Amino acid sequence: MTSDCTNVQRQLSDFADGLLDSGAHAAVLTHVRECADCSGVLTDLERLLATARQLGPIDPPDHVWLSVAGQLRAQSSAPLAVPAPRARGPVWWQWAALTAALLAITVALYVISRTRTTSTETAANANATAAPVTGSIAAVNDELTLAMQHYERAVAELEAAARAGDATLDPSVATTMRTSLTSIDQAIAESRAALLTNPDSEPARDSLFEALRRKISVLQTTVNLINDRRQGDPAGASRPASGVGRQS
Amino acid sequence: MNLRRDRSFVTGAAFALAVLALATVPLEARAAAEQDQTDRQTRVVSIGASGSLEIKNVSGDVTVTAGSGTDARIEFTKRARGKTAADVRRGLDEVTVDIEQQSGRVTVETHYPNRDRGRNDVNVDITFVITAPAGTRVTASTVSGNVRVENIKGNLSASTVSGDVALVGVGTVADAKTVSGSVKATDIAGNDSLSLTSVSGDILIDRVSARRLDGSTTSGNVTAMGITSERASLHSLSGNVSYSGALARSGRYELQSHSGDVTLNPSGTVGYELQASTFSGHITPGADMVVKSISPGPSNVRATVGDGSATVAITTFSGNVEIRKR
Repeated sequence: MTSDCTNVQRQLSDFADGLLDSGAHAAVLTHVRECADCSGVLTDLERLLATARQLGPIDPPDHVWLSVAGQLRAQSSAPLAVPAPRARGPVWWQWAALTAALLAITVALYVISRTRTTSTETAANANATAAPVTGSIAAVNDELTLAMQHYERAVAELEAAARAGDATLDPSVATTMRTSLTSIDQAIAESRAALLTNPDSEPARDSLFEALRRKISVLQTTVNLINDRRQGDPAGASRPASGVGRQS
Repeated sequence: MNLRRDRSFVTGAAFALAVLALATVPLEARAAAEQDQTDRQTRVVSIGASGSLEIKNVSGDVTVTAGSGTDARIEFTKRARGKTAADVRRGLDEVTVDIEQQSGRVTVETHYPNRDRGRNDVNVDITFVITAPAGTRVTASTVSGNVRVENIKGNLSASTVSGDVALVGVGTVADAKTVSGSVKATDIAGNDSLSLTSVSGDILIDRVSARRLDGSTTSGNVTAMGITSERASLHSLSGNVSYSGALARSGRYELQSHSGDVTLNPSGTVGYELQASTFSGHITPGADMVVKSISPGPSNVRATVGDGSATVAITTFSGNVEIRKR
């Protein structure tokens, strides 16, 4: 990761939203095409944004408005008009879960990027000066732990969303998703166990983060499918297993 | 008397066999055999040489092939199966296909009735066979069924939930994905970025040229053969990953699996730097590489082949790594 990466990653959100001017857009695009790290971050960001867009307009529940209004009131002496209560969106929790997941993944990716930089710098320093680097290694481990925690939080949020809507899915698809998630969980467990015995193992660490990243991707797909099914319900469209549908 | 006894025995045995045969036939098969009707229709619509075609199916296969002229020929076959002829007829009537055409843009969409208002005693699927001008931009999707696109050169997106995706001789592929099924891309050239994904199924990429190539599956193999790409990223969780093809100068190739084997079979004259690691597997370096370092196991190999201008990063947790000689 270079200073360019840091600058580019700061702009990725605006880039994905199409908010950059043409010059900045071109610069980010050029960098992303050449940089696997930034490209990976952008891909994750775009996936989440696409998922969020597919959810459609979802109003937060009433208590969120009241809570926000209360907090603002506490911070300001000026009178505040509370917005009229809105109709509760049927799947507001998906929005909340995805937003939380987006934040957690972004932080995790940032931490991992920092960790990679720190690892490289640590190695470079070690080679150059042979100075003790215990503190740096501890810092790297701390940051890895932090990244793990953020990933796990994202996974937990998405798991809750997926579990809540699991019954909406076609049974065979739900089975596929569950089987895949079981395989991923096994990979995570194996990688974790390996890291306990070999904390410095690169393949174990790469496998762990790849498995976590994949788990988020599969959970995102699950939530997307649930959402598609729900959106398709008025037409009774996506029900191949229960009613009008395909037979093999 | 003996004859009568023999006849009784034969009749009894035949009856018993018939009962046994009936008992062994799956219930679904018996139900499916009750009523089965099809309804085939064809529409020809003007789309232009480089128009846009969107197909949204629910249950059934979608096949799009390139044709000549400026028309799209849409042939769809509704197939209904149910308990009675009336149910089946009703199913054929209730499931509709809407085809909308507007200045070079054609949308084909399947509509099912709201099942809450009806009975769920009929199954209807619709198979689409579409011929469109080669320059058409195509978005083809189904929920349960296969999607196959051949020789379409316009931008393409193909997806299904339960089924396979096959792309043959197509032009620019935005993405091709399935949840449960395989994705095959064959004889594709000139792509800027090609992304193929499955959750449960194999990814097969054969004779494909793309500046950037991504293939990912959770449980399945990722096999890339005859590839020309500057940047390839191939991942599987529990399957094998293999790459055979030319490497580009300054190109980057990432091959990763958790429990599967990873094989690199490079061709051409461009050399590469290799970083390969496995936690519990074994790494077999190619005969033509200069090995810089091998850590214990060997679980980590860093090596150079030729001019080392490309970068190959291979990781597997419990699988083996094999690097073949160019």
